[in-house]
Amino acid sequence: MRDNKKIVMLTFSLIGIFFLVFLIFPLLIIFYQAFVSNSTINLTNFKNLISNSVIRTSFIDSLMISFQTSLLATLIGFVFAYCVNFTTVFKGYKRLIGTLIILPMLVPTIVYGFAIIYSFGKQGIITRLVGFQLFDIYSTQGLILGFLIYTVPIAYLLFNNAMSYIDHQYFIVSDIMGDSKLRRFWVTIISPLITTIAISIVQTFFLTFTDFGIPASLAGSKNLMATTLYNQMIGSVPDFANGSILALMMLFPALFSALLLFRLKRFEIRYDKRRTFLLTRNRPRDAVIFLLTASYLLITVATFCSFIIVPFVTNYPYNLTWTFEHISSVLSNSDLIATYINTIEMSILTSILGIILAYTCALLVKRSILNPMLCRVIEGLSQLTIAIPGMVLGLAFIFAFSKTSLHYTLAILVIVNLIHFFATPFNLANQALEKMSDHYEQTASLLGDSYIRLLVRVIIPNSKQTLVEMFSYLFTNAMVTISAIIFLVGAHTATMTTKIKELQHFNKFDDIFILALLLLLTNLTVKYVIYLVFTKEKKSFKQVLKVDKLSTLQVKKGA
Amino acid sequence: MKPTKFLKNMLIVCFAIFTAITITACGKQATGKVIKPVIIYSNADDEAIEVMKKTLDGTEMKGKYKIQVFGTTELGGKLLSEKTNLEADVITLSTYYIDDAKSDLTDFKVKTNGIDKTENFQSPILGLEGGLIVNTEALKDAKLPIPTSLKDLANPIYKNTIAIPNINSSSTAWLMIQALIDTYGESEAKTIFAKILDNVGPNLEDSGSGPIKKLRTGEVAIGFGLRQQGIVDEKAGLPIKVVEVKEGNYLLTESVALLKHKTMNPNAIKVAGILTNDTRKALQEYYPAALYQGEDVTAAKRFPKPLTLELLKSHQVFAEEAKGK
Repeated sequence: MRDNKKIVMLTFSLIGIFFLVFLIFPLLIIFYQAFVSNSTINLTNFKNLISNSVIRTSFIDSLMISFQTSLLATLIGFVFAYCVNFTTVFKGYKRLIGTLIILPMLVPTIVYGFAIIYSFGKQGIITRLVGFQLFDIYSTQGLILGFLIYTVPIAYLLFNNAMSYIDHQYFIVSDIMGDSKLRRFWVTIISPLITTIAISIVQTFFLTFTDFGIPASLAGSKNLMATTLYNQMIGSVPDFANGSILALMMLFPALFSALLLFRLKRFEIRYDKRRTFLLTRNRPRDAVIFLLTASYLLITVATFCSFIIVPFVTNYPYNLTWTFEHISSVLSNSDLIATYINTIEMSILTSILGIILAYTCALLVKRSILNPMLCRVIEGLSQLTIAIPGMVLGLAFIFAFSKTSLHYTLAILVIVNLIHFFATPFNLANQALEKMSDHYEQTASLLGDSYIRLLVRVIIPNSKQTLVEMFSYLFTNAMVTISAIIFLVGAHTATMTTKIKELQHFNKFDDIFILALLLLLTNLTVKYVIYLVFTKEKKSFKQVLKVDKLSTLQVKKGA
Repeated sequence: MKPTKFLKNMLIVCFAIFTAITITACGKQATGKVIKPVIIYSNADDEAIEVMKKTLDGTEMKGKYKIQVFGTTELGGKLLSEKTNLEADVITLSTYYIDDAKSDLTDFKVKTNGIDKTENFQSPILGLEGGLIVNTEALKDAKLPIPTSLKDLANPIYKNTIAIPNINSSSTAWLMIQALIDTYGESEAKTIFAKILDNVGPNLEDSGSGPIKKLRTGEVAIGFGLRQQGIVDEKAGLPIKVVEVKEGNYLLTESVALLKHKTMNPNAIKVAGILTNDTRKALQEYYPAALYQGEDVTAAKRFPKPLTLELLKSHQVFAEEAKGK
């Protein structure tokens, strides 16, 4: 295939058509809806909307809250990574950090909000324990706490990854030079990480700005862009033109931050040789860092304690007797079970098809005679999929396909996920294929092996680690995603996350928490199975849990 | 692991997954081949949905339908935007939305003798009464008197203790605004409502059942919601009480309607008929307001003007203006 121009071009055309139909066409329709009324281009819709004070404040609030969150999350993520990499707090604690901080990534963001209500609300578990309400959950503080729980893990993974590349020899040099402690900290740690800090700020900003789950559950008096867009599209009197303009207002900051990220990635420094030595003991430093990280972990754990308490008592907070009634009623509810199976089905299909799509694209780009210009087209498409917020994509799909037979099918959910989560598996596959020897194809053709044989016997087995990572990423994300599919689900295709949104309407928090636990358990089980597959390779379960670590080298896509 | 062995394992896993998917897919097909299940979209609350399910399960329609629940404005918005492309065959929704979507609906055998006028494309099944509900314990803790009218809620002593639904997303909120406008006239009502909003602060709920939930958890002491939900809680022994306000309780109706599809599901008309005719008695236990002649009449007030989307929009503007005050 590598040298067979016909097949290469055929594959490329198929992929090109797929992206044209399911990415470019829907996006163009959004622009059309936004700016064309009565078949002439005009900006009146746009002007009207901009002058609407509700929308203006929601736009500014969204920007401000995202910005504050990004600074805080970056700071906290940095402290955590510093604690793990450069302090001598005991090993068990470091391991605890590595596991605890990642757990929130395995449940949808929409339940963070409910967890906060039940922990820090007026009758929340923590409020009752301490005797007074720590902060107003329906204000900016509540939202920021939710967003922090969402973004701190990402910031931590970014820093942890970057710090593991820092050469410890620098410390010795700095020591010999007689630097002061502050200066040494600056020279050896901060300055090599400047780019990572910038990346972390932009990345967490992007995630916060485009998230739907947390505003949907916590925005009491504050409207954020995501909720405003949702209400405009599925509100009492829906308005498509306004919806499209709002979608564009959401798209532009996202596009801008994505472009900034691609720029920043180029400045990332990699050290080839890395020398480590024993970290110096510094009790006061370790104590401070320990206190800081432990108190944040405590807040996170406190937030999620409602998860394991509320569903197991009869009627929180008035009747606190222990019961399994809620669990058994959920497990005997055929509707919820069907939803669960449907979600698993969607996630598995998304993972398998996603792997095939991303791997084929990567093969075309890295290991075929495809014209470099066309390679760049594929890479550009991949970057475009990163920049588009899930809600905008979902909206575009509604405009483009609601009159076709794709509407309300499992297929459209899988397709929207394939586009939404394309970039990370594609980049993973790219990296893996790039590292392989360039001579495989030549050798194979000299030995008379067919290309398929080479693919099956050499190339695919050599990238199995990556394939598993791709599967893990796609599966987990498909399980917890909501933003893109919220507009697209029908009665037969409801997923766990959209069901949670529906249950929210009736404030059935017992059921919501149980569904969230079920999601968490499923994701953990899948990761555990992957671990079992790899036990022979002597990987620890924790490493498998962190399978997402590599992927965070790329731009992380919001759920 | 050798490459071939790994590949073999992967193939087995993939094969297993695909079989699982095929089996579930075929299972679905098997039930769907005969006649597709009737899809019902509803904005009704839990209690009403339970009644509908129970009634349908008692007929030959058992297992031949699927109910999907939405918020009122979500479903209303979906109906207005997707029109006959809507996935549902049968909907139950606030009557004013159904009136607006008349051209996308088709006639069926409705129940006649209604108290309000009878139309052939919709048949009311639910009468929702608004009501002021309080958490007596929370009021006692905050040392606040029980309010006796909606106007009382404007008193600053109730700051941050009230939850009400948002008219932009909930029709229950409309019941409150209508009661204020009807009793005090538009301009005085706006002043009162502005003060109430001040007291409500962050507890302006998207969902009509939001306030009652916050009342149950003690998050607020006073809430405006559906009268009947308060009564259910009161009976269940929670510290919840329904207050009979001076302004009176107003009524909104929700109706059954049949979507106009290119190919109609033959069971859809049967389901609509069952929902229309056989659910009333059980529903009245939760929503006692009389909708048909011969039913016990309750004190619920009816709106002086017919409810339309236009009126809703104008009252949404009213609420926005009060917010700005």
